[in-house]
Amino acid sequence: MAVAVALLVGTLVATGFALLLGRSILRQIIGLALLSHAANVVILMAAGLRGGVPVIGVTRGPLTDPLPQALILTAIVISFGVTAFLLALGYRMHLFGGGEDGDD
Amino acid sequence: MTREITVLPPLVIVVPLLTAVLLLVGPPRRVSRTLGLAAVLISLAVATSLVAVTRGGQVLVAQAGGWAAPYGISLVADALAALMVLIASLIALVGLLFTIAAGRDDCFVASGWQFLLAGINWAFITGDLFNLFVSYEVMLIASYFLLTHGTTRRQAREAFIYVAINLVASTFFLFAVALIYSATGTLNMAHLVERVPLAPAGPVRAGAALLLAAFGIKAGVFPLYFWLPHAYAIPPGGIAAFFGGMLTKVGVYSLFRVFTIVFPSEGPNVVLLWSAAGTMLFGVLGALAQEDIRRILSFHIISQVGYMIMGLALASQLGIAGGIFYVLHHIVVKSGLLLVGGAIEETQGSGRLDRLGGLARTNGPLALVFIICALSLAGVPPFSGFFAKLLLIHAGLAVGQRAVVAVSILVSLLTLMSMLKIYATAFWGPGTPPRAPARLVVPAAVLAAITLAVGLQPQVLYSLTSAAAGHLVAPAAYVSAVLGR
Amino acid sequence: MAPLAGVLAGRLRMHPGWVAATVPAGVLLATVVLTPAVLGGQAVRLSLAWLPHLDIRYALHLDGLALLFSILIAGVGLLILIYSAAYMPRERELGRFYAMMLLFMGSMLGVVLADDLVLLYVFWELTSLTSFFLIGYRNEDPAARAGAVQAFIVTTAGGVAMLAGLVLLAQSGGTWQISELLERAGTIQADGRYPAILMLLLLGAFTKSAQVPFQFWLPSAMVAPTPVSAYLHAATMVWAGVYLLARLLPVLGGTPLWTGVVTAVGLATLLAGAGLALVQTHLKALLAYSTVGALGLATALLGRGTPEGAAAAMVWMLNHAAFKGALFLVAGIVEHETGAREVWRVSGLRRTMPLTFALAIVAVLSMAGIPPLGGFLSKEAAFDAFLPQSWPAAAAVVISGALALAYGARFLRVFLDPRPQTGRPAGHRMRNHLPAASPAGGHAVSAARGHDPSAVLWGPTAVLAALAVAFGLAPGVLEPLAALVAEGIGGIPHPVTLWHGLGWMSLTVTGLSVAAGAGLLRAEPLAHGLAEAMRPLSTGRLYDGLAAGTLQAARALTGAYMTGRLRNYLVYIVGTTLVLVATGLVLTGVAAPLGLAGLESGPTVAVLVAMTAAVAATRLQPLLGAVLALGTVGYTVSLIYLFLSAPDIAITQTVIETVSLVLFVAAIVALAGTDAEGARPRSLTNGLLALAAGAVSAVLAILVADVSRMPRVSEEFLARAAEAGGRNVVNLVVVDFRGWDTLGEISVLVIAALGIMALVLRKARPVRRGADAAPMTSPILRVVATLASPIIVAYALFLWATGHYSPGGGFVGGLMIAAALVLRVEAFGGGRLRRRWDRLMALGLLIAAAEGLIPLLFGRPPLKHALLHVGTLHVSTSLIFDLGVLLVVIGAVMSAIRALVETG
Repeated sequence: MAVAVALLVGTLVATGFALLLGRSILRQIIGLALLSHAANVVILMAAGLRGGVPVIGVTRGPLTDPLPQALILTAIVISFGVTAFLLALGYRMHLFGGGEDGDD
Repeated sequence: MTREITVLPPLVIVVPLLTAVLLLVGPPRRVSRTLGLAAVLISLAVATSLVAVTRGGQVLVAQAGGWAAPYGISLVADALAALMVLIASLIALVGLLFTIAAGRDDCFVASGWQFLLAGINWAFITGDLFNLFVSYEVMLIASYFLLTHGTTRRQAREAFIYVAINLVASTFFLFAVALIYSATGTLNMAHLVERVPLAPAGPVRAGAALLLAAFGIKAGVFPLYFWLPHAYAIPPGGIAAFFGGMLTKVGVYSLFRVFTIVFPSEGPNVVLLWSAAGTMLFGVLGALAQEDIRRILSFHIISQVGYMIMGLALASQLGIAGGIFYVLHHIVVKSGLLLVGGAIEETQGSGRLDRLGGLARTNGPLALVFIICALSLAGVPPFSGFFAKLLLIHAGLAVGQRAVVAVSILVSLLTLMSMLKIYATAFWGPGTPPRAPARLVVPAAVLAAITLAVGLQPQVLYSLTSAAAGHLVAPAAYVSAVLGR
Repeated sequence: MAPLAGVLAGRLRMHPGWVAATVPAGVLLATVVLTPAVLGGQAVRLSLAWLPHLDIRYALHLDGLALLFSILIAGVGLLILIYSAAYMPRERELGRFYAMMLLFMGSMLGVVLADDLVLLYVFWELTSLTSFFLIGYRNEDPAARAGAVQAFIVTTAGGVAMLAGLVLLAQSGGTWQISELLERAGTIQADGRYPAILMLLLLGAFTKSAQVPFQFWLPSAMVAPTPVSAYLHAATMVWAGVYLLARLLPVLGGTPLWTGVVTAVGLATLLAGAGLALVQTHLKALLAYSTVGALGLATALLGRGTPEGAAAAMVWMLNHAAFKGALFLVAGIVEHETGAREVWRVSGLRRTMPLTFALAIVAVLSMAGIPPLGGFLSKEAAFDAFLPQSWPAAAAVVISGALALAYGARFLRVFLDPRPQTGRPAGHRMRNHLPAASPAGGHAVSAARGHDPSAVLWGPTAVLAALAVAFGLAPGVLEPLAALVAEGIGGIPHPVTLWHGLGWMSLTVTGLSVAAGAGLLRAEPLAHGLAEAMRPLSTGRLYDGLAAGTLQAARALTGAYMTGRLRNYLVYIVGTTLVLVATGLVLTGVAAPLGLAGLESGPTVAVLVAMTAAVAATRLQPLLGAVLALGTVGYTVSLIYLFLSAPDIAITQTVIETVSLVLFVAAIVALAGTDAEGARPRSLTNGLLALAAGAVSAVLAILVADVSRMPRVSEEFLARAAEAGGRNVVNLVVVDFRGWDTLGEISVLVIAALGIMALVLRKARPVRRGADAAPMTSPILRVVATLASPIIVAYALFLWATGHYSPGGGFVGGLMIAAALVLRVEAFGGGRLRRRWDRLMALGLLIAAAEGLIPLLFGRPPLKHALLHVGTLHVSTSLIFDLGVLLVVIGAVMSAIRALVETG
């Protein structure tokens, strides 16, 4: 299973950068969002991809490591905030007319 | 070393944070100014006592939530952290005074200022790797905020570059966290000191490399600094001084913290040495290519960071002490220069060299402040920059690193050339430009006085930085203070 | 004490030079008082701690060498300051001038008195610094600015090299104190670093003393006011290099390297300087080159490394100060009275300025080495010092004497009657920026003008000229001091006698000199031709070229990589990072499990879908398509979280993805009609880089999944869950164990919302627009909204309250409430929007941060929560914290939405 998820991470990073290295602002933001997803998934992988839901008394058997999940929660919220900000910034760049082109 | 649970370290975060919140709701100007200054002064006072306590080697630790390390988040004030918080509060104060004097403190700026200070102090105080990430994000978004409100479209584009690159850096950071946690099972820095040597080398190395990149981007190290000149040319004087003085130094601080205690190196770190040389050189060349005071100074930030990294790269106590000394000296001087630049822009309307001249004639005190800070930047005695440079040269030659010392000397000469270019063009020469009001000059003058004082009597600062370096080179005290063993 | 006084007095900005002159007078007095002690063989010392950690001290040391220099500095200083009282025009800011002069004097004294290498350097650079301000005194003049900058840079270039040398010297000798280094000369000279040390220090000395090839800054510096030129650039500062050589001779001298390099450079300078002086027409430039030559002679004498050489150098220096100082002052008088600065502008001044003429003649004769003046004696001493070993050097002395006569005569031209062929004699302008006439003067060739100056001006000049005579007639004054210096070098008492009588050797030599000099006077065209031929070799040109070239290169280089394009920057950044990571991995040789075992169908399908969607996002042309692809990725990843036992994240991610989609779509709508993506081809580099990054990330991910055997700190969380009062460990971590992270997280939300408000609104305060536009009239929607929103809110509150026990918590609750509110807005119009949502989020953050502060006030750790027992329920005060989170979320989301809506 780890391989599959790792491939996912790799794909997200590759596509994320591909978009980020492109030209249009909005696509760059999409690319950044993909990168954030990749980072979040990688963190979850640090829990070892085994174990059950970490709620005591609900799961039978070993519980998965709760720490990465907490970290991801924080990371998701933070990147959400920044993404929203970026969109507003993109809007501001557009505010006085002109193209959406990210460069020059 | 005794371990004391104390209230001081968290205060430097919580007080500005709360003040930021209060200022959000938009109280009248006078109230907001009083509150803002009060918060910064409290932070300064706390920082001073932190420095006083930690100079003898003591480490103060507070555990958030009362949960013990290493599973709770530690807030640690050792000598280095205390010094950094002190200088951050000082610059916050001086910059805020300038911003108020220039009339640019609307409620957004006032609140954002406190948030930024909170974030910066947070990064210095936290002893947890992921919490460091969070503090970076607080600091960054506060900087995005201060950077972008009230900007033009062109400036927004430069800001976009800044934000995008930092987001990439954050991604690197998170990958590094994943790698390190997977390999060591902990995020607490003191705990990492114990566990890293025992953990599988592959993920640890990769994590260290990613952290190097993430911090390096923030610090403005070669070849990662491209966002800097764009971003720092945007905001007005006071904000620019806060940014230019402190933001990159958080990255430098993280490098110092992590690459001494968590990932120590035996002997000089070659990668960092090369990077330092490249940073010094490319930075100063970039400065020489500019024609606007603000942009010149931005590139000099990059160049001077190279010196700090050189100190770190030498990995000896003398080198690290020299590096920390350099950090503190540079923050003072760079902020001073940026405030002068800000004063010039506020009164002349432009910082372009081809539009300035004869400033020394009508702005005597401003010229004096400028030349003091400029010479200090170039390492000319009798200012702090001289001793900073001397320490690094001494440390470098003591371990036989001649090449990088030669580069540092060449760069200081070029830095002098650059500063003289500004002085000869803008301050000398014909012209009788308007006079900048005293309230815009005083904040910078305070900083100039400091650099002179340190230059005349370096012992005080040096003993502090030497103590701080001692902790980094031999982290046993830090570790035992945090982990309680 | 003395340098401190000078430095401090620099602060006194009182006007007349008279007040300033009291300082050097005081210093002179002090040195005279101390002279007997020093002559008796006992040095006067002072030592204070400065940087004890490194054993750098503020240490001063007055011995014979220092005493000699001190007398020179203070004495000449006194005379110059008196002179400037009359010379400097009234309308300038005189206070600054005198302050700088005194500051300089203090620094110069510091150089010669310093016993600590670092202290020496500090004063050394201070002299360069004060020189900069003094040269640039008349800063409206571009020549002054250029000259000042050039001088500063050249001397500092040597200075920083010297610093490295000093550090190496201290490291080699184990101490920063010169007096201690003297004892370790043997070790130092045997050290492998010795050549480097020597060359670096020589760089410093040679740049300061304008030796070839660094001599070009001195003539350019002549734009300074004449008192400055006379004091700094003839008598004191430029001799600092000579001082350094003399001071370090016992430590570093005596080796073949020393003798070879120093003598060679000195001799070259001697000849070059004298030769160039001959072809100058600008009075001060002539004197400047002559000074260069004089410095060369002193350097060569020190290069010999013998006590006789050193003594001769000192005697030469003092004599030079007398006659050269006098000549500079004469040049100043000429300029002051007639406005002329060049030889051909005036003539016949001997009639109108007879006193000045007389003084000038005396000085020139001493310069040319004519007995019985002081200059003669010092030339003799030099000749004798060279003679046994070094015939070429002795010959050079003779030649320089001849040249001195020739250019001295040239200097005197202003006093003589005009030549038959009137008009401008060919003058050779070497690299200097000097203007030809002072603003006050005219510019036609004028006949005799001017008059003898006031006593204040000719007084000091006369004193110097008189000294030139006195040194010749009564050399006994100089002998004890010179002897002291020689003893310092040789280690044994070394008496010096200067007057050997007029032996046949000296007469012949002098005669030769004079004859040659006279001959040279006739051979001017030849000299000019030579100078022209040498012009391409001018190092001044080289310097200018270097400086310009550096700027050019800097511009080209920086322009090349600072393109302003995010793309390029990312290539460098990501590329470097990949290299770093990959190198680290390769060097460690990782082995990671790559098995396909454990593949479960559900998650694998989700993974595949997500991957496809991601690729689709890059390929789809319409923006909306790309955004929807992103949404698909987000939802699928949520699903994967669910499969991987992370329900809290799954819920959060789903809700956030939805909100994000809404924002993205809104952005597309706002940026309608502009999409440049389609037509441009993608670059290969970009694609390769992205693929490489992806590959490396995948590898890293596999490494991450291979969790090490070390125990996790999170095991403590599981163990202490009860103590924290809950069962949903993830929520416990977020709100309690690592609440400090969450505090930061909500701060980020607040600031982000603020940022969005600031960006999207035109003014600082939100503008009230007709936000309560006609609500959607659909009654169904209104019914749904009325019914659904309370339910949603209730459920949201439930989630908040039970977060500790099952997936949920403040964040999700807040998002749901926000969703409910938006629903109501859609249904009923924007009235709701007009509340101050930013106040709500402020309140939320306030609550959370207060939980951080309040415990501190009681001496408890921040964010420490308490567990309350309500019946059978355990309720933690972290609920309050979570409430803060809830409020922040609502406030932030609603603020952002309101901002978006109000801008349309």
